[in-house]
Amino acid sequence: MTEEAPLKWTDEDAARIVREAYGTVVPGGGTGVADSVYTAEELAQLPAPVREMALGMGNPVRYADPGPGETVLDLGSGGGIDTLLAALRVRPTGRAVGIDFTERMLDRARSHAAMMGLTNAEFVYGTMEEIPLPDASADVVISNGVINLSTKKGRVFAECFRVLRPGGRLVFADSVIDGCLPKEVLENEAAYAG
Amino acid sequence: MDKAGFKKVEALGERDPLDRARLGLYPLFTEQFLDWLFAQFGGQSPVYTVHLRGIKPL
Repeated sequence: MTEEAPLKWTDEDAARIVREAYGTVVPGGGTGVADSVYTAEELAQLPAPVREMALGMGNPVRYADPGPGETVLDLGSGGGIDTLLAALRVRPTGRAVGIDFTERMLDRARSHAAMMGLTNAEFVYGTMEEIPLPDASADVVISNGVINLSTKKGRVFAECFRVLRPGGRLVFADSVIDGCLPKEVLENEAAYAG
Repeated sequence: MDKAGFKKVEALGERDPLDRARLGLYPLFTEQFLDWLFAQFGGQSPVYTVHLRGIKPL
């Protein structure tokens, strides 16, 4: 990922592109994604509707390895799969908080938490550039294929640093590139949202 | 990440190529879009998935 890659869009345009792309994803499309990045043990803990909304690029929960009692923040939680996997690991005393700026995804994620009976998972409206959590309130910050969507990546990392407790960890999966993207790709809305 | 203050920033595991088959799993992309995208790349994706970790100092 490059810092502040040159884009032809304003920050508001970029946010609109992402909202529209992810707000219109049809449930059922993400099963192949889930099967490609999560273990059989993890998948067995997740109802089909949760697996079907998987849109991430990797498995940050596996590498972050949150434990009982920890507080985990998931940036861009989407349908909630990583937040819910984290909530399973940190219970009974820990909690997992997913933030997203797509209302439809928040509704789905809350529905998925209820489906799993998880009372230690919550989903909150917010952006990763202005995280709606106090300073030093999280042990772990995770994100799965989302930070690349920000036009202010430096701001995102500063916010992650702010909300983490000393000794806390940021673990995320995302895309990187060898070299630079062609101008035609950089200026394509579908490519940007992806 | 290091500019924000994180220490011990490191890549975890292998980096996986986001090739045509992998991107085809995502409902965000149509076949037509992927045809166009990979034509821009000359058929070979330069994009990879990585996992990164950074620690906030004590």
